[in-house]
Amino acid sequence: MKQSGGRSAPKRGARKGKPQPGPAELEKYIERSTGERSEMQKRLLKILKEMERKLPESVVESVAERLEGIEVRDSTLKKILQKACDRYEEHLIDPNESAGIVAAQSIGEPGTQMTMRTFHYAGVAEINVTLGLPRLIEIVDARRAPSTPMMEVHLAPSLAGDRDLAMWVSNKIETASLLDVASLETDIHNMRVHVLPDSERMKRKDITLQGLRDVLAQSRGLKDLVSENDRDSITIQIPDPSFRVLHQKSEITRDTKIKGLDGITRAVLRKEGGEYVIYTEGSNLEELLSFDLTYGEYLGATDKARYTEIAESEPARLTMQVIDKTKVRTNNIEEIYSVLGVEAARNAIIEEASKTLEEQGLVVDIRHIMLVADMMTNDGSVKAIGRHGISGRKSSVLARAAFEITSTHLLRAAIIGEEDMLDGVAENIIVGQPVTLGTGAVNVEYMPEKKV
Amino acid sequence: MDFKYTRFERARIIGARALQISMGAPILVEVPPEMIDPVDISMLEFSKDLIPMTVRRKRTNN
Repeated sequence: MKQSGGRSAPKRGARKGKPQPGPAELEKYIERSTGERSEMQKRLLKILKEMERKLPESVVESVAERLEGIEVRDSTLKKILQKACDRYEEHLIDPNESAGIVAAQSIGEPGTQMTMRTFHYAGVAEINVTLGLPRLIEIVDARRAPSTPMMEVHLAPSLAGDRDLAMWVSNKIETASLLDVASLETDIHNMRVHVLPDSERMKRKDITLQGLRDVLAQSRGLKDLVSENDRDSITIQIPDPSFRVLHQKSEITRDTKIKGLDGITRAVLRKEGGEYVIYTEGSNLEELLSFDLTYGEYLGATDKARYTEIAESEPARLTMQVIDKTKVRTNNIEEIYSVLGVEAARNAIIEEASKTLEEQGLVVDIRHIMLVADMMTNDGSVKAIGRHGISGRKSSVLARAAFEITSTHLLRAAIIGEEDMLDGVAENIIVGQPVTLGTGAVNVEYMPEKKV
Repeated sequence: MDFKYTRFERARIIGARALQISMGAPILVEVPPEMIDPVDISMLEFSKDLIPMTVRRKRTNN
């Protein structure tokens, strides 16, 4: 069955803000997508062909990876592959196995042991993250935005140990509104709004008075009203006396975003094995991936002497991206879907779900979760499990009626004359037939004579 | 040809045969006198590949 959604979705995902993978990752990616195989892989595949057995490419790849750099004879390789094939076939499930029910139970049972309300603080930095059952429900419901969106931003490997740089980057990412750096005063008598910057906080956020003025002058509704005062403050003059306008302008001024990416309310640093990682509260994958920050920019803003020094010795370093965009993570699955496409969303679902379960000390085989993720994404968009998603869109009337609001579904089906092919499990139970699973799916046939 | 029945197919065939035996069908193997259970007999027949039944599969990979 062809689904139309599957074609359009990846295109939608690739529209803008395309991530630029680092050179090493890019090469690895190209190698994979063009089917470039290593010497060992080719050897293994050849032996497999001689043996007339089959293994998926990914298994061959991981076997090859383990054998890399080890001297092995063909006969030994054959033995290894024999073993690998045996193990692989052992782990295959039989056709007609009720994999979905097994998956549902395997996730559902550990789910009963999860704590209902857990909120966890990630590391020292007190970033609040929803975990446990609420998070799992969130993933499975395919919510537009998680209740606690979060991002993880890594710096380019060669710069990751630089604390000042990390600070600088996190400052660039974090949103600062006007109130974070200044206070507001409304002068009713003269119909003015005064912006009084706090020099200490301005400095910490790396904003100059001039910069502040420019941002305000550019923001909508404040054009031509902004003027700089001699005494380190900015004044917004309302042309015609009106309290309504004054109030409105003062509100606009207060909510003006001075810098940073939309949605990212806080950014904190954390040291992980010699590397500084930025964790953010709030998520904005699209903007972050198209956010350009070069090493030269950083040095230009902080250390002019070093800037000229490097400009002479290795000018290439100045244009280097500070953020390692291949390592950016977010827990907002919808965002991943719209920026990177369905396959990425599927991976995100798998990863987030297994991380949530693992964090609670529950062991669920990844294949159960993969099945859930596949079901949620197989038509090219991310669907929820439940009424508005998978269960609500089943093709069979009886299956839908069995799930929820029985009479409405049956009535509507009767009016428009829907047909039911009795393919699924629920339908057959209702009708009183054996279900098409396991033993019930086997068609026994008489076999007259046996060839001896 | 290494044709293998899945566990569901095996169960289904043995079950169908056991039903026949329980209703008086002639047995195709030598059976020890103490073996009465039609399922046991059916299983014995299955292990000797004597049951005149096979399975129709909808899709096969091999």
